[in-house]
Amino acid sequence: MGSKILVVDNHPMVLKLIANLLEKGGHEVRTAEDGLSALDILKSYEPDIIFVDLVMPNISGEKLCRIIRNMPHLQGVFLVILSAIAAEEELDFAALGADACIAKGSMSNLARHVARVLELASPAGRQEKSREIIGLDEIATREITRELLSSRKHFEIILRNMSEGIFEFAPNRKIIFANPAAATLVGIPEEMLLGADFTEIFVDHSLEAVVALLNGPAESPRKISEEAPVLLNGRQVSLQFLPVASEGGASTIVIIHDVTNRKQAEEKIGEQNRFLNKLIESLPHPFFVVGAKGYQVVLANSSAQRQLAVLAECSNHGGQNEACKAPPPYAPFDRVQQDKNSCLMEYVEQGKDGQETTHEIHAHPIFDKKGKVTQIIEYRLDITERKKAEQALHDSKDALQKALDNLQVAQQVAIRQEKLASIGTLASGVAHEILNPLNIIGTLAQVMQLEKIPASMRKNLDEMLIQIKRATKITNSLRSFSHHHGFEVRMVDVHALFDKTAALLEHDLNLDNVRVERHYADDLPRIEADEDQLAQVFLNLVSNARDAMSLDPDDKRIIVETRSQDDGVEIRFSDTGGGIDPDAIGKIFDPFFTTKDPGRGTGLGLWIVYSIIENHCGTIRVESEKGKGARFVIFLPTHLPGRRECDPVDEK
Amino acid sequence: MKKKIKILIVDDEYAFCRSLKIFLEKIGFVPLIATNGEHALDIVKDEKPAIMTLDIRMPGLNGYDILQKVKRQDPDLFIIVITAIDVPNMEEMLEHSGAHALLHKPIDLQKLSDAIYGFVGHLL
Repeated sequence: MGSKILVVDNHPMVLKLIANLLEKGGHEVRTAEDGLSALDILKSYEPDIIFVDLVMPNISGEKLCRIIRNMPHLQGVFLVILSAIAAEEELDFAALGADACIAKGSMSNLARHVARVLELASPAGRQEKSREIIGLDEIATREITRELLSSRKHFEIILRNMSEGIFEFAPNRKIIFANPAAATLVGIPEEMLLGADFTEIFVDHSLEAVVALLNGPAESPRKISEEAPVLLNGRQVSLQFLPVASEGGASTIVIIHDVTNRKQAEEKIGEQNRFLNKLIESLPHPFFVVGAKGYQVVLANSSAQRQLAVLAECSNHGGQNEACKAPPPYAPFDRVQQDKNSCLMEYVEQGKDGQETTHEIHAHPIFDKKGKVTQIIEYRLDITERKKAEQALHDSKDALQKALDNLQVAQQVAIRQEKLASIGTLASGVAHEILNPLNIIGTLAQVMQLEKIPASMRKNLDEMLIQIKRATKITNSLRSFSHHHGFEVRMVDVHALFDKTAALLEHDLNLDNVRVERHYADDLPRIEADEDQLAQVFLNLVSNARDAMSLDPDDKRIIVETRSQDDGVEIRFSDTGGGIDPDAIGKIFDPFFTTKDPGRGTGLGLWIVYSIIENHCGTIRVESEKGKGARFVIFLPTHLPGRRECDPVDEK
Repeated sequence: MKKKIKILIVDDEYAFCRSLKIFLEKIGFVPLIATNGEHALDIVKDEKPAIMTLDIRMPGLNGYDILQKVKRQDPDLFIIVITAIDVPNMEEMLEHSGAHALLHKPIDLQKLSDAIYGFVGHLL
């Protein structure tokens, strides 16, 4: 009974010859012209012996051997290699899993060689495990073949070690070559890939994309680019298809790039860019980046494009920041370049409407590897409101300080005046109380002296009167201290003095809702006067006015007007009180005259005012209509003549 | 003639009034005493004294008030102010109010009698 034999050779003559020989020997023979066809047959055919041509297009004999050896149902098959290059390339056929090897030579010897193989394939022959290449001694070495083989070896090494996956598939899309990188990419061993449909290494959308591409017009360059990669075994890959023309129709070489890492890196960079963009866009303040040369804007957030006129114009003209010079000022950029460091500047921008805007400009350098400033980041804060607030704070602080200073001066004046006043009050009170008993004693003593009394008693009474005089003198000198504490003339600023004095009463005036209006002359000269006495005048007039308005709940104002006159100043004090009764108007400067409740008025206030003005050689008059308030008009000369040379005081 | 001249003493210190009364009696006048303003005005009205000595600082009506009222009631009344108060320009102020003489406490009785006799001589 003959054996089942498969012969694979791309040479039809050889194929036919061997088939005839074997069939004559009573064997069942099937033939295949290439590896792919062979693999097809082997799916359903289990031969005892397989003849494999070593040099074949598509799948080479070498590979076919390895595939066959990996097929479990072909474990026992006797594998014979037909090598046309046995003389040029030393072949360890056993390493390929082959059992025998025939060196192809002349056709006439072939029958003998096949017969020898059949011998070896017999159970007895298999024991022999012959290492001989049958017919090797009958062929000669061809130099050209050796060179070609050598160069093929180089290409094989290159292909084996390339990081790109290389496939080659036949027109029917069966894989006929896959390098190790391709096998690794797909995750399937080379042996199993060979003969498989190329497109089936893809799934889902990637499969569709590849099929669509391969079904498309053949002329266009077939390519799956990095920009739109397909998935292969979970990796993102780009594909390049290269047609290879050959006799049996064009096969195709596919170069596969694994772009996963790159894509992931790109994705990461994209993500970071989006994050940074979001960050920059989220800033409510203008943020932009300029080149260090020429200060062209290379990046600007929308706030910058909205708020900065120059950038707004650029983006309106469509040239998104392109060749758009940064908005002024350039000083921060210059500084950053010069210092190679960040800088902070304030910049006042004059708006079209004349409004001033104050910006706080932060500029930061971006360096290249050599430490040169290549770009500059600018960030602007509108600090106009902050500046205003600071200024307001500053101003109010100044005003407060001034008020405090005034208050302190006023307080000192008040303390001094109060001290003097209390000493005066005490002294005159004490004097009064001492002088009265002294008066009684003295009077009695004088009365006694009128009697007829002994000389010794008269002498005693004289002594009593001397002592009474002595006590009187001391008491009077104490009292006169309070009255004549000196008349100190200096140059007085009437406005400042009034302000100081009014400050003393400010608390009381506020309590009574009295406002003080000042209409001060710009050119009022300083005058010669005793500051303390003049302050007393103001104090008395203001407190009189306040008392006069105590019953009027609505409009409570004290109006102070000053004006410069020929030889002096005029000061007018008006109030909005009830005015002065016509009966009383002639008496208001009289001592002890008062319209106030008992205990409130001394009746001396206006009399003191009158006296002081008189001492300053000035005049005072009063104008009033009942119900329309009162006005005191004071004239004070700029220069004081000798005190006794004063003109008589106006009395109206 | 002299005996009929009434002098009203106005002072809230009774001890002073009494001692002055002794003196005035001694020199031949008829002294009257008032220790407050209202009483003084009544006496001026009822007794018509020719002369009045007047204290300024008193409870109730003060000397100045009395001066004003009395001047209206009896413009011829000779008024000698006797006070312990001493403020600047006091004399002019009192003169302006109608007082004729000012004596400071403690008084010198000689000066008082000089003032009284000066006026009395003018009367005679």
